[in-house]
Amino acid sequence: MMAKKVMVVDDSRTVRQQVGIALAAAGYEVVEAADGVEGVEKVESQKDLAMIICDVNMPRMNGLDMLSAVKRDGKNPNLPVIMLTTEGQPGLIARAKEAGAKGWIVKPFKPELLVAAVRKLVGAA
Amino acid sequence: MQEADSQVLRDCVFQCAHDVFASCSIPASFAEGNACDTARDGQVAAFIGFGGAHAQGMLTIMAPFALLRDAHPIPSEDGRGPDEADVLDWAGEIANLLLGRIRNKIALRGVELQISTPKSMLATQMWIKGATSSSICVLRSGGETEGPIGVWLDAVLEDGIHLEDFPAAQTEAVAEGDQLFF
Repeated sequence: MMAKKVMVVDDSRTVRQQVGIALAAAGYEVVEAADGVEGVEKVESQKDLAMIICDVNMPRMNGLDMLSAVKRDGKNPNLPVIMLTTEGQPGLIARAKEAGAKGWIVKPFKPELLVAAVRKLVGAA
Repeated sequence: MQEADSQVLRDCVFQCAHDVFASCSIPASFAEGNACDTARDGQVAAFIGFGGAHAQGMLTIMAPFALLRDAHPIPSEDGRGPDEADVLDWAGEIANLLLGRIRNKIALRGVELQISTPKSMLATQMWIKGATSSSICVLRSGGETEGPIGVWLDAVLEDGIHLEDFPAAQTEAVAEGDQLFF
């Protein structure tokens, strides 16, 4: 059985690696994108994504705009998206919820809790 | 900026900087004065700007390259350690974490910031000049790689905007590490 595939979208390579290491250790396959534009492209090219973990503040296209773009095209209505960000403002969280996000994690994150959050939404790897 | 506002910001920067560097496995303690006003080689500078209706400015972090390299969180597969690009990226993320924490703290005081994305660079003969004592926080790393860490918050509050004491009952909507599910 193929491992479930999770995409991490963050302009920081270090964060992408931190998330990737945590998820790979739990058995998930991880793909990366460095900003919202690349994230949207990879949602299209990676047909079997199980979940997206996405930063908010990124160049070219921020995470909330990427979330809206992914949900708007209607091809992945049930693809869960968790925002992983330093942001904690209630207004932004409400925007993400309204746009279809399934969760919000405030950085810095604990790897074991991130893995638990992924398992909660998509099950074990 | 009024002195009371400067002091609130300075205290916030001090505390947040101490907490963020600790969370990044960089032990640091406060140092008096501006030890970053002397030119040093082998430095990394990370910048992240902010704006909005309430305030504008920039957060700058200056730290020894070796310090950040040794504290890089990703183990290298070949044992050679992180390269320059890795260290610069990490410095930018530290600046992002720090300004995010500062932003969340002062939001409780009615001041909202919209933050940008970080940039970082390597520098030789780098020093911070012109920072007032109320805007720069200097820490000294307590680990094996010594050297001052400068955290400079250069901020301008819009007229009429003050860092009011928040109501006693108010708490942060979300804190670092919190998870919300919808």
